Amino acid sequence: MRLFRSIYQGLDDRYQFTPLLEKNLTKKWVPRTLGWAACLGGLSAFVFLIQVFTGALLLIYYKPDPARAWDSVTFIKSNVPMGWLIQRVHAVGANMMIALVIMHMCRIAYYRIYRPPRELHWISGICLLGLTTFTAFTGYLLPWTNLSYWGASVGTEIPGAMPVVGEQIVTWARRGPAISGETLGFFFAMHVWVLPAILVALMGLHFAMIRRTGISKPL
Amino acid sequence: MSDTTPQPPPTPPIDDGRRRLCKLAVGGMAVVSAGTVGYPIITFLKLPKSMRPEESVEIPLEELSADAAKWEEHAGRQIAIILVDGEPLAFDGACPHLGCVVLWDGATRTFKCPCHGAAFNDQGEPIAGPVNSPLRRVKFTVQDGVLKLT
Repeated sequence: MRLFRSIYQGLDDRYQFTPLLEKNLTKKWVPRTLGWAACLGGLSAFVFLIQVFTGALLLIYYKPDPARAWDSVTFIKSNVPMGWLIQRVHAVGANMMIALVIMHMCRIAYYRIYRPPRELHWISGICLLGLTTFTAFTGYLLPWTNLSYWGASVGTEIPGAMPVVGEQIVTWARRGPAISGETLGFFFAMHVWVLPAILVALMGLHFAMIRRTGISKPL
Repeated sequence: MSDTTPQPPPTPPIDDGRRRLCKLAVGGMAVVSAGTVGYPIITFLKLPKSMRPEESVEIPLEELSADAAKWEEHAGRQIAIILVDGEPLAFDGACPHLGCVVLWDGATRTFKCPCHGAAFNDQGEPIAGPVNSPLRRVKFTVQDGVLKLT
């Protein structure tokens, strides 16, 4: 204990962590009238972190190849120690994250927090909801089960209802006329890198904006 | 004249025990939480049983032939099994010179090292090149026509 304290003291002398921590954490007072529902956004971010870590663990064994994807997920669930737990947490976490983001959005809408000066908070939030949904959707295909195959099939069908460009979007998203190994590779890239990277960037922006305007104080 | 200003009673000492108990409780909860999160993660990173290298290697004797060496990986070493007068012999394939894995030449019945030209006869004894020591013999057992490296 004394060792940790002296290490912290040494670092603090040089880089002054304490005022930073006090300003942002230990002495940052939140409005008294704020309820627990104000945590929903932060909880979404927390679940996102869980997804990042469990996802990184699953990536050790997962193989984005139509011939091996299902086997690799089955291997994780039945052979890797605690693999079933990590896989379940990642799958349930995705649903949790969507639920939390939507609950967060409902609270903002109910209390009309989207009003000036927080319009861009709302718009970036809607984009974050969209990205969260897309990330979950692309992840759903990865185990390459019948359910995920048809889920992706139906999901990519949706933009087909759009006039003129609909069919092209469907073909683009599927990397061809139907769900195939190419779709799996595309969804994999989207799920593990592209969408999370955009998500992180937008989350940073979202949080920075809240820091600038301050949290909305209820009466 | 006496000083009649009432003195405040001495403050009782702070009950440090309760404070310590609270700290201990919070610390305990932190440790339990870290354990519940950390244990599955560390367990997940362990090598699954099915991926661990085989403890022992078993080779049926009929797979061995007089002119070709049978190579098997065992405990991280390349093991060569050859037949000498119908009797199996197992050698660690690493050349005692600098550790290159030797090759079996069935025509001359010698192990030849591709790195520096060392050569060994079918007993593992050095016959040429920059070596003085023989190839390391590897122990094995034969039971019911199956050779087992242990």
